[in-house]
Amino acid sequence: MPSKKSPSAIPFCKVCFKVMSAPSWRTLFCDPVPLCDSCFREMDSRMMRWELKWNKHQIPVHALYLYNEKIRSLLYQFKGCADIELAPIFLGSQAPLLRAMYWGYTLVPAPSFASKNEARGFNHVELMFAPLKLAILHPLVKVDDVKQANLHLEERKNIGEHLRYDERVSIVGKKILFVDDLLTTGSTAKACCELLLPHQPKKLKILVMGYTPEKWARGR
Amino acid sequence: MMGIEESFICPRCGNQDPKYIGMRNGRPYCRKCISFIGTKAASLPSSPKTVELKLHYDLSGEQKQLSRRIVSNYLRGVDTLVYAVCGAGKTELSYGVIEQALRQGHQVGFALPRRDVVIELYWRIKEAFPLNKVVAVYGEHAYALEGDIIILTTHQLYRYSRYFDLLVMDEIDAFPFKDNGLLIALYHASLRGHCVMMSATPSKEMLKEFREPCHEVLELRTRFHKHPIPVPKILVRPSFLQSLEVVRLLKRYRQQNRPCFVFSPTIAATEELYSLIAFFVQDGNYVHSKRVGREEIINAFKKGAYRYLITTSVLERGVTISNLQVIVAGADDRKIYSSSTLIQIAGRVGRKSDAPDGMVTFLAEKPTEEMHNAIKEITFCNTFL
Repeated sequence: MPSKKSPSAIPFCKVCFKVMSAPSWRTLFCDPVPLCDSCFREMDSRMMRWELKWNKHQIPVHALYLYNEKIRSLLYQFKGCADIELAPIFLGSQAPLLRAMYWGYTLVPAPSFASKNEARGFNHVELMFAPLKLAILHPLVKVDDVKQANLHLEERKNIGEHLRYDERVSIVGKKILFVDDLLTTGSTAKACCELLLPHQPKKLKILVMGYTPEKWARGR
Repeated sequence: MMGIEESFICPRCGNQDPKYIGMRNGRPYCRKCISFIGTKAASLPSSPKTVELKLHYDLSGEQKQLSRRIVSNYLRGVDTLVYAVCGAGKTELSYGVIEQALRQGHQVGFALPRRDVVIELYWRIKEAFPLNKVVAVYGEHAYALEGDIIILTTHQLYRYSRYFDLLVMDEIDAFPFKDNGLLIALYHASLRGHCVMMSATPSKEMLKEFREPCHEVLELRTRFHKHPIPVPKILVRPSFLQSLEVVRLLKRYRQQNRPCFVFSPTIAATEELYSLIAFFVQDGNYVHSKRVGREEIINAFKKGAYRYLITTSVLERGVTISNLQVIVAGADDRKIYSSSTLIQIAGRVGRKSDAPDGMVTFLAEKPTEEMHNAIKEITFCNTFL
């Protein structure tokens, strides 16, 4: 887990390392987040909500940021370079609102390959959404190491072949919130929902950190 | 009692500021150099190499003398700073010491802050040392990491831990290396032998460091072709008239069949200036750090496909083009154009012996101290002729 206490007494931004000035309006009413206003603005928070429709399914989706250069570099640093200290900045000051919106839900993170998590030392999706303080279940398992970014559009649609449902975990009657770092073509989200839906959750919603609209439009 | 964060020192970059130290699963890690991850170079067994130095031209008397001095410094274990004017032929000065190090089976590196310059230098070194394996290592190009001579950006130094017996570094006063504590730490960590630093505009701190024992500063105040460095001319114009002045000058250079660089302070200003000028003068293009296909545009310009290029300071260094003229629009932007930057820009002109003169024009609303200092420094160097 990231250190709970900052090593320095003076609060500083975990992204640009600059000393944070007087508390802004965001920090007055929310959890203190080690992120300065300038970096937060660059992340371009949007709170987008729509419905993901395919076959006969219709699942509500909620995305927090548009996927831009800042989000790309932060995610690379957090996920690729294992910079665990960045974990709290993604939900940031939006965490209390999201907690209220998804109260009573159970978190299901997008499956990631176990050896990757071991090498990194943490599961990045789980940690990113940890500020929601929800119960976590892992009913989905990734059976082999496939990297979505390396796949073509058509190959992405078959991502379901690399996933399976762990029958030992029950989600019957539970309100499930499926979470992932990015939503690009929506193939992973759809494949995961198709695995979750037959197991009769009471509700199913999707929450993602970043969203790439152009690619999504092409994928649809 | 000190916490773990306070007592931790990064083994790679030497950082010990608790602000840059994070905790992962109960263990401290450095957040300052965390993005420098990738394959590390394997150390090769050292064996003397066959070297043939192939130069299509002779070095001047002064260049030969300096080159010999650098070699003797290297053999005596003295670090050298070569303080030479733009166009003095600094790169060629290092060939002698590279040749010597290779003959002794030493590992040679040549580091520069910018990738464009790394690519250009790669071809020059490859031509000069045809029998040796030369590799270029930069951002998206890190497939082969080992070779006799490794040309790399300063960012890639992290791949080479205590690796280089001889490390030549050029443009040390350029962004992003200048004042970047992390890159300087990576440079120290990659060196196991001695270095040769080269700059046309070294900082006072650098000069001070190289005046200490086991260090030496070698100065070269004249260009190899013994012609003076063109002294910039200041043209005071309100900003809205500067573009028209650029058009007028470009038309003149076009008639004289001379290529021209027009420097502009920011990316937005570069694009704006190009959209305006393209109406009046055709056969031009623009480049900046974010421009897609930048290398192709620069190559096309070198081949004569374009008559002018509007650019940000990405082309301020390491570019040699015959008969080039230079205009600096908005030269009074003090944040971008320090006197050393202006000296570097002016140094693009008259570098070849077949076209040793040219014009450097600073367009500004108001002359700045930086502009005057640059002119003073260039005039001073010209007095050594």
